[in-house]
Amino acid sequence: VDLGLAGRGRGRRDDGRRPAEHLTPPTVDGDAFDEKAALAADSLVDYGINGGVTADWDPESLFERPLFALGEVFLADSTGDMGIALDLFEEALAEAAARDVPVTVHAEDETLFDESALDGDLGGRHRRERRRVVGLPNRRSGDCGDRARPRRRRRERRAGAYRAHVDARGSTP
Amino acid sequence: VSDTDATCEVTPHHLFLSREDAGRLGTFGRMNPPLRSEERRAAVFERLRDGDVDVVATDHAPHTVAEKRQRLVDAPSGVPGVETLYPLLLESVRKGNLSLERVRDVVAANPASIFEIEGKGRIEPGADADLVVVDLTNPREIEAGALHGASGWTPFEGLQGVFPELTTVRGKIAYERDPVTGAESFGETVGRNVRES
Repeated sequence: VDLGLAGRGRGRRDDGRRPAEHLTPPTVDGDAFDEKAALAADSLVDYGINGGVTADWDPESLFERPLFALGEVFLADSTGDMGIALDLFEEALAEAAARDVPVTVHAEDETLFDESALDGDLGGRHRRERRRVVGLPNRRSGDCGDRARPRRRRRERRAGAYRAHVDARGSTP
Repeated sequence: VSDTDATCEVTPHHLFLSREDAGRLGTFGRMNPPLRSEERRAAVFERLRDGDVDVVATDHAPHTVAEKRQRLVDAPSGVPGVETLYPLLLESVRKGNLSLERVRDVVAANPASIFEIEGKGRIEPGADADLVVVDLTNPREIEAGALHGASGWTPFEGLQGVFPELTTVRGKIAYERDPVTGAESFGETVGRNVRES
């Protein structure tokens, strides 16, 4: 695999933190925001810091900080377990709207993750592992998603909400 | 969506990579949404060119080689891309596939307007002098060894890119590359939170 595995960073930051730690801690409360702001202060360029939404978020302390946006809100568990339920998404939208803070979302469809994502990620290789992963109980099957979708749409209509998910199968020709 | 204030963005990896690259990338190419067919990639690029896409943003995920070189179930989703965003788009300009005005809009003017970032996204009196100088006649091969991120790899290895020769942040030089020797120098850490300016 030619990925040029020789970058100057070589997988480590100057401050000794590993890159994956850009996810840790999630910026879901004021203290986490302050921690990231202290790191960002050592920057060559101007920057903004998002506030995050998870089940554990603390909007009160978070909105006291100068948020760039509320984002990136995960509408599915594409990164760790950071996907949120529709009612929490609605709550977050209302909180953001009340404070005139923009919202960005990962508009992903969890019902398409398993089969489609794994096929696409690996180009049809690793089929044995794909079957094993799809079979894991904490992953939704396509049938499960099909059953959940009408219920979700009814809730969305009652709430007057836009359906923010994007169906990748129909989004481009 | 057109009746709301919602806007959309696409990533460089969905503009410049397709399922044809998935075999080469293996678990390094794991991302969500996943890479799609070359036909779909071309359709997304067409929408960028035609003005339907508001922003190109990286969804930069600086996972290391060790993190990505795992079993599928353990490899995290996402790829690094912040340093190769401009070079890839400007290379498209050089090849005549994209206008310079579209690049300006999707990486500077539109984000500044959408997020109401004061002083950014425009070259005009009173605005911040955040400028980048490039030589559209001088593309270079993208090599992880020449990049500065912490990841140590790039999914765009081997593609051509038009890299900055000089960058200023609020009028101060933040980066400069000697056109003869290729030596690089960096300015002071003057970065500010744009919401506190």
